[in-house]
Amino acid sequence: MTRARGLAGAAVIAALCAWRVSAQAPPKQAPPQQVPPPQAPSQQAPPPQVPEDQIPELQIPQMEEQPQTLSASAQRIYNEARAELLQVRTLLKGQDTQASVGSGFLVTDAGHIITNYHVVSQAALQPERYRLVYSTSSRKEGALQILAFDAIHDVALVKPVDPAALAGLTPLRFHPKETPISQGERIYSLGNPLDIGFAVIEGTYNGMVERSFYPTIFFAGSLNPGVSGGPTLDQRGRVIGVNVAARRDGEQVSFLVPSLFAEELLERGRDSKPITAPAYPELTRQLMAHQEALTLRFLEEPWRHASHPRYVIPLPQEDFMRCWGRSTSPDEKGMEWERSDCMMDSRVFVSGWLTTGTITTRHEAYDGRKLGALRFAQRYSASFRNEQFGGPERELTTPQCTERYVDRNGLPVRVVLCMAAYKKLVGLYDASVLVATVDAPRAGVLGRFDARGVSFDNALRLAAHYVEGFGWTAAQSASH
Amino acid sequence: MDGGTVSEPLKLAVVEILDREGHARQAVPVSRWPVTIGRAVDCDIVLDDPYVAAHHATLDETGDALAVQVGETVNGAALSSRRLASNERAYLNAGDVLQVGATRLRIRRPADAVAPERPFTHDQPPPPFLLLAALVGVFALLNFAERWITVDPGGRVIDYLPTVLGTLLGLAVWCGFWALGSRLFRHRFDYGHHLRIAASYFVATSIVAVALPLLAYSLGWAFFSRASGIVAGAVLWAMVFAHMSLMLPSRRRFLAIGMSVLFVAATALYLTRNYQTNHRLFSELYVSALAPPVLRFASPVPTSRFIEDARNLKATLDARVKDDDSGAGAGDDDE
Repeated sequence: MTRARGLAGAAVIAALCAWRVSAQAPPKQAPPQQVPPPQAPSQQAPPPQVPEDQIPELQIPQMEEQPQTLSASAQRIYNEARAELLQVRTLLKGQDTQASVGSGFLVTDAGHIITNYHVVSQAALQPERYRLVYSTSSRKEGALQILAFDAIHDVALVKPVDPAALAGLTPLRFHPKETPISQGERIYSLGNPLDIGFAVIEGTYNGMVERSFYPTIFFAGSLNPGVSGGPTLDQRGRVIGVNVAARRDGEQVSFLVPSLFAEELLERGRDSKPITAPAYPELTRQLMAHQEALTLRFLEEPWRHASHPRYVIPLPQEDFMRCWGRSTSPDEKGMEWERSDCMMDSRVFVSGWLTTGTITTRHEAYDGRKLGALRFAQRYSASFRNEQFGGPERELTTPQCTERYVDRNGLPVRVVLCMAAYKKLVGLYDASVLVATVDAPRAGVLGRFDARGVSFDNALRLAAHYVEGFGWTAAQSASH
Repeated sequence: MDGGTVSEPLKLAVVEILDREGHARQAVPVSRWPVTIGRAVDCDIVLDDPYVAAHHATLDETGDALAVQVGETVNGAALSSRRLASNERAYLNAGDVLQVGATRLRIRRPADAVAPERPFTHDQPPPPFLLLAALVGVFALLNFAERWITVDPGGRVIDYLPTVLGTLLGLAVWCGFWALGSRLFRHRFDYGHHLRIAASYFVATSIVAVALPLLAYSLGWAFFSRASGIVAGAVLWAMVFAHMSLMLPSRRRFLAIGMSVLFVAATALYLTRNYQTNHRLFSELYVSALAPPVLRFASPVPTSRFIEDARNLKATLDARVKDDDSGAGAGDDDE
């Protein structure tokens, strides 16, 4: 769903364009992108081939200017961990070409390897089409099997089919939970960016991401596609997190899964049987638990209310959501509006074409005093019409809707509820609620609420919660 | 037969030379048999037709039977749909059309039955100017209103002129084409009648397209809005039918059946396709028309009631998931 959806009229579109290019623009509220594995060469330009003799020329002057200590610790970390670092490649069965690549690291003597769920998702969901192999910095290669995964936190536990091949390596240790890391501490992310070669990326620990639904480490450093699943180590070479995502709209704003979730997954899955069938049932189970927690937490929180003279408009608390607002310029001749978009930063990666497990809300408050009733109705209807539903056809059924006038303590609203069912994640649904106030000839509020990947009952509970959030303000009720 | 007088030779038959529409362009009386046809001046019927031989054919009556003897010719002749080669001979039935070269002839003898007299229908006078002016005025007004509602207050004349003039020009051209059709088939330009049809049906379409969604908003009955596209389509279809039956009044019945069948088939196809791709008959997901509150008569229900209704969605959606599962299975079998 694009951010430009649901806009009414050319004025709004013009405003959006201005917003995009404006120097005072708020940061684009794009959620963090999972660092995608580099895709097949047809989709992405091949990495520039730098002749090897040019690299020293580029790097030598820099190294001479830098104080020795900085690169020395990175060098030490890299040297200590490089043997345990692996590249995890997803191969298309049959032609043995790589469909995607990521990173991983050895955590036990028995050969257990931690990586991201999104690095192995193709092999987990379509084992008949994809298989996994690892390769080490010393160019050892072998087949991998998936033991367990935690799609919600985006970690996976894999193991070589022949663990003996990795015997003799010292597994990486996890940073102890009791010892806190302080903000600003140097940490080192390892992986194989863009399939160019194993690399160490130095950055700083910046605590936990605020307003994240699940704990996520804010890493001030660059994560590139291909390093997903690689470890981020503290000064002593202990794992504090797993590389997972970066914001494309910022610089050096990257995210790590706290090592705790990798440890938990290791404990839970170290003796599991390898996954050979498509992992949809397990994925569904995890998403069910996620939506249950998300719904519960969302319903627990009372609505905040947007300040509007006439209407009570529900806005979510900003504990794990973030709202952006904007409005028409004061000299607008036609429809005046204020808009708010609230969304979660994180979403659950299911596959390359589907993310889910999020809640978003949006409203547009319209004031058509300058327009008159007919012109207002035309623009109000056009905005109400301009909504998109549904998702990728192979994942979701076509939406089905139900609609009615609902009474909100005297305020009549038109409510449309559209739902679509997940085809492979059976029991999960996407729900969208549209609310349009229909009490005034020249003013109105359009609201939209979306819950992705929730159970049917929770979808209805959330929908009711949202609709119940609307009403007249006390002053307005008194006048009726 | 006592119609002839002594001074005039007895009229045995009439050979009619037909034009493209099958009307007699010229009738040549026959006072004796045989009758020769060709380009040569010594023929009884001299045809100015480059595809006709000098002595192309001869008509002769033996007893009651009328026969044609084709002469030496490259193109031969044709009797109704039957081709006649050089030197071939054939008998004519009453009403047969004989084609020689590019010319068609019909031979009528006194004994041939004459088609019954048809009641004369006067040409419809063109619609009164005032009616036309009013219709076109309403048409222009509706287009103006459609434009007006999308323009912010304080618009200038230039905001409206292109729309209003453009649609008027479109209407004029549309009627012009149909009038040309009438000219071709009925030799009458009939612009006024086509204008009456086009203006009134376009106005009706606009009204349907606005009124049905409004009705849906007003009564809360979504079907009005869902079907508004098809109803508007039906009105336009009826307009084309009206134009065509004005152009070809003798085919009115055939046109009515043909156009209805086409419309039903197209609608069925549209609905089926929608159902197959979206599992809904209509493409519209929900009623999007929002009108001023005075037009709303449907009463709102409590949230709980709405949510109870929404429970029905589950069965539909789950059935789709199942369908898709089995559908995918069947697809695999087919491959």
